[in-house]
Amino acid sequence: MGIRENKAALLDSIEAFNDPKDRQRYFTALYTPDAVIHSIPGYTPDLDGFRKYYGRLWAAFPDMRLNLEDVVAEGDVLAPRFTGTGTNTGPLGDMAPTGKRVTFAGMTVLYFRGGKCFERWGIFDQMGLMRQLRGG
Amino acid sequence: MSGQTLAEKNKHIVHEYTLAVQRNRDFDAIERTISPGFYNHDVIPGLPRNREGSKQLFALLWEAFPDMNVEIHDQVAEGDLVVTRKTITGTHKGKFLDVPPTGRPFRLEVMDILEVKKGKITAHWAVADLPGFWKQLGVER
Repeated sequence: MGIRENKAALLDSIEAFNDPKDRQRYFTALYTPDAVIHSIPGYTPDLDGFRKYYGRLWAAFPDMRLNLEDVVAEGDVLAPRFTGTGTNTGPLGDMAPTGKRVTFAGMTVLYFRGGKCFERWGIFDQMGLMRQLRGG
Repeated sequence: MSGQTLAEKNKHIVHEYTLAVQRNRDFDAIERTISPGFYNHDVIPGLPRNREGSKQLFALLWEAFPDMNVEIHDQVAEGDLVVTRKTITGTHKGKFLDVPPTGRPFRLEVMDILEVKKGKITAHWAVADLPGFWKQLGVER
């Protein structure tokens, strides 16, 4: 397994992510069952926590899509930069739906073994997303 | 430095630059390393997106966080692009944006991409855990 297989898994997972009917496949298309998912405060650093985290976001933004802007590949590591878009038609925690359309930037660093990611570090512009929801 | 790939050379440039501006308060590194045609895709609102904006940014950060430091956790490079995963630390001792000093320490998780062409940094993208940062300072944003 090499960079080509790892990129194929990434692209396949984004295709699943962007299809509300196929979304649960995102997790299995990209990650090993024991993958470590770092830096999402409030959730366990595993796929179970990751599913809950995205479950909450997808409830708030059912049409959420990721657009891959760039992928930097080196050895067993992929570092994608992406833009997310979505319409806030569902509740986000305690926040009632605003109906607003948002765009946010994100980056991840993904470590691969056997064509699947076993460790993920990620940050997205949560501040910018909240500003768009709250702003006029 | 022969035998190094372009990606390895670029990683080294980004590593040195990051330590210079975020650990060693070496403002000359900006003039030395940033290309005159530099474009910053993710800049603090109100700052210019060019090299001058980077000088203003680091002057502003060192004023607000005089003990600023950086831990580089990992770098991933391919061709012109270098991704860095890092933590910026410091104590909020001077005014930052419109917020008066809180005296509180912080650890800010950051990922950035620098584009390096012919040994000079030509573009920058970044995301950071800003909600976590403001929470540590005890500031509502």
